[in-house]
Amino acid sequence: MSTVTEERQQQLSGDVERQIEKFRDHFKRVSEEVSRIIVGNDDVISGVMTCLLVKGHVLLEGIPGVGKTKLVQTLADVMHLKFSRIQFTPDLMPGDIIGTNVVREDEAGTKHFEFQTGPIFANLVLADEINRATPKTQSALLEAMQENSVSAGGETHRLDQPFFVLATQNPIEMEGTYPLPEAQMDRFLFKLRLDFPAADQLYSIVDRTTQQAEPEVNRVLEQAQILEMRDIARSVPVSKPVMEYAIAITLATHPESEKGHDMAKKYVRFGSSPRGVQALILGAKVHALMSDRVHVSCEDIRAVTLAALRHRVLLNFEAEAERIETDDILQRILESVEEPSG
Amino acid sequence: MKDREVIVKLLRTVAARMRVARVLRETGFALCVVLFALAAFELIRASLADAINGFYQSVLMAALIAFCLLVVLRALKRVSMGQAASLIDARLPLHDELKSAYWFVSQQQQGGDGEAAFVRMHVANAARTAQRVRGARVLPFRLPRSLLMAIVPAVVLAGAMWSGPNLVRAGTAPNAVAQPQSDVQTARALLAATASDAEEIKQLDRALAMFEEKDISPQQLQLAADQAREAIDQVNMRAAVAREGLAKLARAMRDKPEFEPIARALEEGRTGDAIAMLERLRSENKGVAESGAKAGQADAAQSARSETQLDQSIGQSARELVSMTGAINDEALARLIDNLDDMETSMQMQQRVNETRARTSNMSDMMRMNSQRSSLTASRFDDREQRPTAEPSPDSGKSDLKGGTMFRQGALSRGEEPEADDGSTTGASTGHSAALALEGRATRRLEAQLKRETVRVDSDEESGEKSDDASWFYSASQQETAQAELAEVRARDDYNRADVMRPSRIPIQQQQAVRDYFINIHKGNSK
Repeated sequence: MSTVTEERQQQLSGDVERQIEKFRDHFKRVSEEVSRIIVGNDDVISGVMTCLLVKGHVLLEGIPGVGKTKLVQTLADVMHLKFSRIQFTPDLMPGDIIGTNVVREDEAGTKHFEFQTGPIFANLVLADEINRATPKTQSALLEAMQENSVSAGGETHRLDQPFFVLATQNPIEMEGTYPLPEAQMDRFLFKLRLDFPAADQLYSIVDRTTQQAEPEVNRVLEQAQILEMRDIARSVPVSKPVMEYAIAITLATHPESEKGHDMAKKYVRFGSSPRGVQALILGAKVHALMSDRVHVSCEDIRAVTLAALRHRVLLNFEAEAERIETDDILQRILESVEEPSG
Repeated sequence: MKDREVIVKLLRTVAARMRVARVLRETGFALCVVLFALAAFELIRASLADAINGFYQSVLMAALIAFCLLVVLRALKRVSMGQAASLIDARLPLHDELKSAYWFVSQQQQGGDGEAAFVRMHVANAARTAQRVRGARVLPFRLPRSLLMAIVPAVVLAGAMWSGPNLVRAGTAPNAVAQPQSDVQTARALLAATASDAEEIKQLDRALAMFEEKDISPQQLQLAADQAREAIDQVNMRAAVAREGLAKLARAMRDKPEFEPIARALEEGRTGDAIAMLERLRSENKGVAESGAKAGQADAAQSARSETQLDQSIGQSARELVSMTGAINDEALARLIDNLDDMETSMQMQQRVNETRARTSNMSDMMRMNSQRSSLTASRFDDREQRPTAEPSPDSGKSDLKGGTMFRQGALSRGEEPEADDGSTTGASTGHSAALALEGRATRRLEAQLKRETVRVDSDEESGEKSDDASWFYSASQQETAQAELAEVRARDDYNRADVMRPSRIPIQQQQAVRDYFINIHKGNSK
């Protein structure tokens, strides 16, 4: 009996090894393909992929022209997913996003309402300059992002999987914008920042985009493969000491908590929500897999902390006056929180 | 299951090593602190010997003991497997592989099929890593830095103890008092071995017996030491007389050819040989052996003659030898042998007593140290140390210094007669001679108190003599008068204010008025 169990275990282990190998292979291929178009920002590409593989959504922040939209377009091309782009403007209405019921007349002359799906019904949705739409329109995304469904005309419509929202926003032009409400921000697993490229990266960008033929990408990932990768990513085990570390980091962002960091007590208005811990753990799982490990370590947690928590920590007036950023506070928290000994 | 055992085995090894390392580290830390505290205490005590007493030492010891207990508790704290796993992960580094794997194997948690497979794979990977890892490589034993740092306070402490006064060190030794007792006992045994009934030996024995007594005051101890020293001096004196007599006899014998080998033996210090040769000479002289033996016995009874008698006897023997012509006088020969016997006995006694003296002097040194560490000082019966300006007396040698016992002991023994101390103003060896009170030390200069006022006296021109003594006198200066008045006013004010605090709460100036007031009321009521 025990021999049968051992054989079964060995077989499972072999399957796991193969699955992990496949996961890493797909991930690398996607990253390489995207890198053919997007110069630099490897960590951003990796972060976007991570969000996709753990059923999260990502908020991309960067000045105009650094390749936010291009990155999303390239990802859609590489992964062979249904892609739609929504350009957010102040006059954009929720119905423009989720769709609306329209009156249709069939061949018999009978009129009836028919739900006309909006651009949100896609696998990969680019919400470009999301902060330019009104909060009402922004909140149209709430249900879709959290529940993966859309309610319209008294009916709930399921969204096709994978459903992945990539929102972009410009941190400079704040006039005529509507900053995302906290609840909306909390829906995003990661907030990634695209930095201005360095000189050598600029050279590569110019070289690639100003010639007669622009580079093309290959489709390397199918929809089914993405769903399979999602299952693998969520299977990575996390021990309690590592979870405790993630929780300690999250609690340190809370000014009212006993375990709150001194800097958080001084500069933070609201700390991270429980979704922050989830984001830390899920992001760390993918990071662990991509670091040739089948277990999550505290190092993985640290690697995703900034991306997972920077948009969940709300600063107070004092921090804004002193130009303190959430990344500074999180960095200090990471330096001070000790790893549990187990 | 096998994977679990491998992981746990490694963690146990490392946990044990961590515990040992912690004990070493805590020991080093404790040693460092304790040595530093002791060195600091020793240095402070060396500089402020009077201010630091046994109380502070007890407090320090109690604090150090409490600290050591705390350190022991910390050192013996349990090291968990998780801590060991964390250490290995951090040292190698293994990215929490062992910590995580140990948590899974200790929880026996099984999720779904997929997750369980991941956990098994993770644990198997961790076990493979654990097999490669050696505890000694992760945590090699080495001397903690704190233990090396402890060398510094240890050196300071050793230096402080080495450079500190011997008096302090000797007194702090726990067996400092016990040692003299055993010395006294062996010294007395040595004296008993001399089997002599000389008065000096008895005196010495009495003094040593006094040392053995437990409830004895330092003064009595000092007196006993003086008596012992006196007895030893007496024995030495007699031995010196004996040696001088031997030399005298040797000179007298040298002129006689039959006594020449005996004279040589005496010069070389072989008194026993000389006596044997004389016995042989006497036995050759037959006929008078009987009477000579009797005379010898009679003289032997006087075993304890004074040095004066011994000197006289030797002189007589020498004279008889010089006047001896022709036949040898057997009676004179017998007396000579007796004298030589006495001399040898004196010298042997001196030898024994000198050994006793060596022990006695060691012991009295110890006594001196102890007495100096005790509260009994030379200034015990005097209030001079309380005075604000303790200066040495102009009468040098009479100033009663604290701790003067040590110096005075070696100065002079108390003589039997008052004249014995002539030529020395040191006083009694116990060091309690009362010096004259130092006058004028706390007073201000004379010029500040007084001014010289000269009064012109119309002297008789006819006589032509000037009486300087009558022409001036001292009176209080203006400054002194002002100060005295101010002091008086202040004193009066203080007195009045002090009275307010009496139980009656009535100032003295108003007491009469109050009394009158109540008497009048009383009288009014009676009317």
